[in-house]
Amino acid sequence: MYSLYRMDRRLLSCVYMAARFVVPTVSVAKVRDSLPSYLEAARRHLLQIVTRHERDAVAFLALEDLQELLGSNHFETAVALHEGEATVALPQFSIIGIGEDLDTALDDAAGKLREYALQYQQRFEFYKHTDRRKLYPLVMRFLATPEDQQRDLLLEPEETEAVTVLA
Amino acid sequence: MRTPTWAEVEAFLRADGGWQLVRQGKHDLYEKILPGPRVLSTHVSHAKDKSMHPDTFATICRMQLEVTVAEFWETILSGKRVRTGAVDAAPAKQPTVAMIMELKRTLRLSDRELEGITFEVAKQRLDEFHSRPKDEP
Repeated sequence: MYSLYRMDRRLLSCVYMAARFVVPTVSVAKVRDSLPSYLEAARRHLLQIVTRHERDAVAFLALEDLQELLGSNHFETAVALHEGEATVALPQFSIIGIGEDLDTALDDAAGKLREYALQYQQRFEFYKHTDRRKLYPLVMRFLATPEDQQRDLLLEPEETEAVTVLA
Repeated sequence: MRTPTWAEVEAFLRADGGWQLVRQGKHDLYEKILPGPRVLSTHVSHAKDKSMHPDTFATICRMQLEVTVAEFWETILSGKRVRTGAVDAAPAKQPTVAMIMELKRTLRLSDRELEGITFEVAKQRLDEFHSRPKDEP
């Protein structure tokens, strides 16, 4: 009797969850059975919601679309060059890359940001209750970028500079 | 200005209290939770006897530790927390990496020629370059 009640609740919950979205909402089991077709749909930029019981709902979308979605999150940088030492500061993260010249300081900043982003993701349950919650889109953008392109994210001009630099 | 070694930065963290080692890697990452809650963080190099440029030290105090340079040294000397919540005034806004790269690429300036350059000066030089007639060398 108890298990039937639970099953009813689960079914009702799945129906309710499916009804909440206008995009396809599918169960993990269904996705598991025909993963290629869901991957193909994601490749065609279709957002799909995958659910498991009443607890979880995850978005299924192409990495390219995630990168596009996060693309407007800009990494602020501040450079100081001195004889024998250069720094590249990332004020949003309170990170300071230090090196003998701009290139090594930039490498140091990117390396520190990589380590920070990985531990941020692991400790997000903690950070989401602090002022660092706002870093989430930047961290996700950094992690959703191939490692050999992460450093380039720090080279993007600010919007206010873009007209000047790209003119 | 006297600048600390990384061992002295670590000594500051111990005396200030509340700093926790959250990740060990190429550098050690420490965090301190302030009311809010707000998170302070700083990296400490393993090259403990190495120091840094005075401007780098000032940036660490202002951006990461949130103390004045005087409070930093007082904390180390007294071995206890000296934190008023004040920080030293920030220097003139600094240029971005993109601006420095653009200056190096277009005007062929070296790191040495760009030492101490501010955001305003960098912007002005880039604006001048981009407003030049295209055939002008």
